[in-house]
Amino acid sequence: MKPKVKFSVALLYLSPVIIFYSFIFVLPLILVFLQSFGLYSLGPMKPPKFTLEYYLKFFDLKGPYLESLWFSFWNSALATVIISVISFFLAIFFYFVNFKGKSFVSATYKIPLFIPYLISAFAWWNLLSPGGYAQRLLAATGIVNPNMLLVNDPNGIGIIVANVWMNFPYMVLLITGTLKMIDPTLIEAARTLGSTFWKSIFKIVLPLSMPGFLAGSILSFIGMFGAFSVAFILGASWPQYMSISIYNDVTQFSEYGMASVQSVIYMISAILITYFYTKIIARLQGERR
Amino acid sequence: MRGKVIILVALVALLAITALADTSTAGLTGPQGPIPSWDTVVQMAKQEGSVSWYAYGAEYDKLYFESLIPKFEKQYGIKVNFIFGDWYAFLQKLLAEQKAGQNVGDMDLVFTWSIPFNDAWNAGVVWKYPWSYVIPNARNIVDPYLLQYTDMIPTNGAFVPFIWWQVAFLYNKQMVKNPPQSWDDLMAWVKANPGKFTYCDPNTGGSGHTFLITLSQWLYGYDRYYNSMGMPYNKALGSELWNTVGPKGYSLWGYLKELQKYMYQPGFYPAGNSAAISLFSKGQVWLEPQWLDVTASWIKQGLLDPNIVGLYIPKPTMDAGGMDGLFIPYNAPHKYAAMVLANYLLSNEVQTGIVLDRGGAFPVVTGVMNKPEVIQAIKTQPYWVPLDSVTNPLWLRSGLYMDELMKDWTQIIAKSQ
Repeated sequence: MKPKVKFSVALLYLSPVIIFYSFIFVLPLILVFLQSFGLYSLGPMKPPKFTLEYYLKFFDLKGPYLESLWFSFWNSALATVIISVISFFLAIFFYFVNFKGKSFVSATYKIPLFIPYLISAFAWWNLLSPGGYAQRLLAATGIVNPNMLLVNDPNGIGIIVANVWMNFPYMVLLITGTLKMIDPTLIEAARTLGSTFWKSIFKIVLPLSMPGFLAGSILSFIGMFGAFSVAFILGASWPQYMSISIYNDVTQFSEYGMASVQSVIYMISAILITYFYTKIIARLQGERR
Repeated sequence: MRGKVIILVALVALLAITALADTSTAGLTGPQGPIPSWDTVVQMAKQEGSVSWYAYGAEYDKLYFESLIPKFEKQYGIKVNFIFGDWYAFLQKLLAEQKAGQNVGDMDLVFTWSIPFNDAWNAGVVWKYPWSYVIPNARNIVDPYLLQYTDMIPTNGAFVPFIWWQVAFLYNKQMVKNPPQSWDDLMAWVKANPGKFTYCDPNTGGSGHTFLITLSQWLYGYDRYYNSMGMPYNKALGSELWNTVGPKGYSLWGYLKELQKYMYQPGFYPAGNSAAISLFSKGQVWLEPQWLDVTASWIKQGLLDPNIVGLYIPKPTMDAGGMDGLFIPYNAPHKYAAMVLANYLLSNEVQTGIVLDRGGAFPVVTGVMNKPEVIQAIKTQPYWVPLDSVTNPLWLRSGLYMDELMKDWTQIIAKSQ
């Protein structure tokens, strides 16, 4: 039997950790939240005064902020879909197929995990910018129009490419981990009963690997949704990721209030998206059961 | 009991914060009243014994600044703590010190540009003493106006220009035999050479916003522009002006939208000075506004073929600056030493080095540009504009309106693609 510890004593033991986390996580968030209502100033000292001005400006349909939020959302969501598809098939490949040099190939695809985001973004900028090797190759093979912009473009193509490259190994690892937990006799039984390989993959493996799939996709999405360096290097002048808008508002225009509102909206959006995504997937899994 | 523990924890945290905040003013120096003699300043500076200089810039700036320190230390016996970083971080540090009530800081001299200086001034973290009138070398500044204004922002003598950066038109002289010599010719040239002109996103590169502000002056006339923008800052004025059709038959936004149709990849704006010059070096564009110092850095690093580089200032002019400069923070512990260092940085020797060693930037004091070795360098090195094109500089780069212009540009031009 474990000895009982009084709550107050436990709290005292935990107090260093609580204080640390309060200063590192909670306090900055509270200050950003307060500033979004004009009740605190992270920039120059200003007397606190409650205002909804910044929120009204954010939700102005003619203003730039909602468009930035939408662009950040759909661009990251599209990259997440691409990452999910690529990662799933790669994980299946590495799990089911054995070949000579597999360990080497398996190590190679993980390289992006060890390269800082900024370096990766700059590498892709060099490859995809006009005259870059990748751009010239794609144009020469007719895959893209020679005049098509692949970086700093309004559709965020460069951002998607770099995000996919940087995030798919992470998701492959997560899905592979889940695959290893699936009882192989289930697949063998399905195959013995006449199921094709792909049918058993989609009917058995995919549903059972959903936890890894879900965790990987939502973590990738949230990471990309709020990321800065890739959007900064590869993004266009417009539309902008909201992270770039925050950066410009703080460093160029000293609009600390607007930057705070965008930060609050970013946090709330990420929490809501994660919540509903998790709920939807859980419901889908429930129906399947 | 639980409540008591929480209160105790909160009290401990509060005490820790209070202990960390330094509210002492002991150690602050610097003249407060009448302007002291320079000898007194130097004497006091030597007593202070050290100075912390915070500077920003590119790698070549860092190398040049660092090369100055041993000479200064040897000459005055004052130790220099050189901190190289970015201007935004310096401003944030000062603001944080102000909030913490830290009346004695560790920044003595800050090298920055007009907008952060203005932010610092408005926040009250600048030493509001007209020290530019104390240091002797400031009397040699190329225009006394610059001791009172930077980018048309009032400085009240608390900001001293140090380096004169300059934007020019960079063209590929192997591909372009007749670049547009004046602003009047630019549109026609761009239309005749579709896809060969660009300017960088003004929010990510100074060559972009200097181009825009100079263009707006040409469109509306320098007198009208100065009469409007020379008045105290009025946010609505810029937006109103840029939507108005000027004597050249265009509004600023109308001109830029028309230009955009014939630019390199219409709707695409390189993300910064480097991205723009990268396109130039690859032969993708033949003409763009660009900083002389960026061009110099690219040539020195072997990234840009000097044989294709042609540089000039379109007629009638291109705005001079930014005139990046120095200010002393309100809580600088070594204000006398900061003034002595600033005076050294304005010396003929250091300013000559800006041309000869750093390269791609002009001196802010008189008596340098007419030196034979400077004239020779400007004539022979590929990253300079002809000397006679900078003899009548125009200090009309209005920082506050430029800031508004950058913001509006994103919404009106970048969004219009």
